[in-house]
Amino acid sequence: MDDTVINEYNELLNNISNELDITPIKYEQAVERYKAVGIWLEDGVYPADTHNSPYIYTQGSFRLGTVVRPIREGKESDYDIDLVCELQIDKDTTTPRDLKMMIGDRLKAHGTYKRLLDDEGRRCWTLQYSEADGIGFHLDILPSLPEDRNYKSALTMIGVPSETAEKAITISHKNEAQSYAWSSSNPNGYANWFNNRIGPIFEKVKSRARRRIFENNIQIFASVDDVPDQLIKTPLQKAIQILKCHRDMRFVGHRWEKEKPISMILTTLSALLYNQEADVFSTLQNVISLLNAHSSLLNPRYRLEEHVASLNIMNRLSDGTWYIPNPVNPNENFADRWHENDNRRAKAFFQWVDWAHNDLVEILTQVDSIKEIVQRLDECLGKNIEKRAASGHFVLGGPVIIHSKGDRAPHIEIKNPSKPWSSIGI
Amino acid sequence: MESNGRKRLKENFSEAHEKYTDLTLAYEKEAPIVRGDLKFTAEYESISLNDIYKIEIVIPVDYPNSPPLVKETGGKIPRDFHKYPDGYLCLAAPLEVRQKFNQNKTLLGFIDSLLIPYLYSYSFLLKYNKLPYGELSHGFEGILESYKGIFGVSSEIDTMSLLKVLAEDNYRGHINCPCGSGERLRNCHGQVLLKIKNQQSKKSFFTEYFNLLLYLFPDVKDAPRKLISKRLLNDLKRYSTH
Repeated sequence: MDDTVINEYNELLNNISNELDITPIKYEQAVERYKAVGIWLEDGVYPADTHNSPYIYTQGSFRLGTVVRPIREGKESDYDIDLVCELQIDKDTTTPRDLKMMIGDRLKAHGTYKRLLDDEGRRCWTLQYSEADGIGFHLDILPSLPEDRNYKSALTMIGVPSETAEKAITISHKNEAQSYAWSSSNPNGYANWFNNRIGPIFEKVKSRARRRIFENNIQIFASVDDVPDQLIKTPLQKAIQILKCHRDMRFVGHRWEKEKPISMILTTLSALLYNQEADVFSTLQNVISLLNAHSSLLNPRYRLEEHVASLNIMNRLSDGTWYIPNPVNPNENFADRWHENDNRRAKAFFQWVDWAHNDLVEILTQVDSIKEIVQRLDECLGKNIEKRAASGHFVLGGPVIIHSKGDRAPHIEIKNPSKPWSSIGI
Repeated sequence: MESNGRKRLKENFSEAHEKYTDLTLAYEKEAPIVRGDLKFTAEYESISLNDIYKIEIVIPVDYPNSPPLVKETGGKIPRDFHKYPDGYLCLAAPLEVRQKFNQNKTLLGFIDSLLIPYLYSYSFLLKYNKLPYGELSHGFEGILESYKGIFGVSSEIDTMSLLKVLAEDNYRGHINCPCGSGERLRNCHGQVLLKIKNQQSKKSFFTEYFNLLLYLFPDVKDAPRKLISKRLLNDLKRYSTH
């Protein structure tokens, strides 16, 4: 396989991840929305023993820069944005139910938010924004408060760095019996951990990426410095976006669709295995191959090769249960249900790894040209990719044209355009 | 196509080819067709998009009296996006196409002023999920909207009254303008009427007017008196006996 095809493939993967990503214009809109809610929540009146105004921040893929555009039936649909509202109250002065209601009541006190508010969720309150452009937001607001001292010190005892443990929060969890209980989480700690994983490569790519985003969106940002870090993507984030999309497409209509690997596992394992590769393909190649090397855990008498075992990213205990710890809280096992139904979630995970290996890595040894790659990716990443990614960089279907540098398309300024018309109905 | 037209087309093509280098000109059964990849960067209200479309431009026999027709052959633009039933792109309402094309009756002028804005609007739709300069309604409603835009009036009756002048080929500068402004026609909508008068044949205006009238008033008896004339009624009779 010659380098040209690898380079072209990398360019293709870059384009695909760009197309999967939230557009800067939509990103700015989302920030505007959640900041407004944040201000409203901050200005609320909470119990007298509140130490400070609430602390509002994002979590999840929006925070990590691994958002994948939700595409439903070929159309871009609503984005999910996760917001944490951390009231500065001591855990022992309130109950999980009261915490949830305090935030719910505050939201209901606002005319607009009352209207946008969905039914109470297990952990969150959800505001459903519909936007003029048809692509709305689901803003999930997670009521929380700082985790208590005992829990934090217990975390440090099992090896969590104290600055990470310090960020732990407690959240209100409504179970099926409609009763409320405390549960622990650490979105800020996780985001910091993730940012440390991408830190070195982020420093390398940021100035170029920031300039490129600015130049493509001069109507949105006043200066290069106004481009937010969240829009700058490292190869790891791009690889995660592609893996998430590949997973979604591969499990559509599959009998294990409900058991498909959760984004948290996919993101955590990719970040753990990431070795500061400088491009998307090398990242995928490394991550997927190492995940594949864990598939022997499915066998009854499993044994990992030493170099794989030493990675220590996932394990199977003697009782057959699986263990993928949350890197900022080893008490939390992302794979706690993997053994259920004859290890169905584990099987679904390794089935997906196998697909990814074949579709995204091995593909290079099976084709002769970038054109064939494009066709194959079209099958496993979805027809929409064709439409979305064909904007100028490459064209799918027909002969593939990848713009080489210096190959400049003519520039046309459109003035007084005519509106398109259809004769349908005549 | 006569040799004069052929020569003209050849010149037109080389002009367009200098800018859009991936286009080729071929004659299929004597019918000239320009096809290839149309690669462009286009900018509208400071949003710049670059894209590439596979296109096929069919040159009509009476070129350049009639504007060319275009198909997108890469399968990028779906059927339900502004296309005629036979797959040709509806670049704009028919009169607007002629109007734009008549301003610069060359292949390059056609590509720059009609085709690129159309393709840009589709690329824009994919990226931002909305159309950059809106769209006309389908069918007659869209033609009506287009005329409203051309005349700068909002009422359907006023639009029809103005169009009637062209349909009947009855321009008189001194009459009161049909838009109801109280001004003389020559000082009001006269300019715009004269401007579009030669863009298409009198017969085309008449047919459009006639179709729009029936579209608005399926029973012509309901139409305001000022939209009806003897000649129209005669034609209507002929229409209904056939």
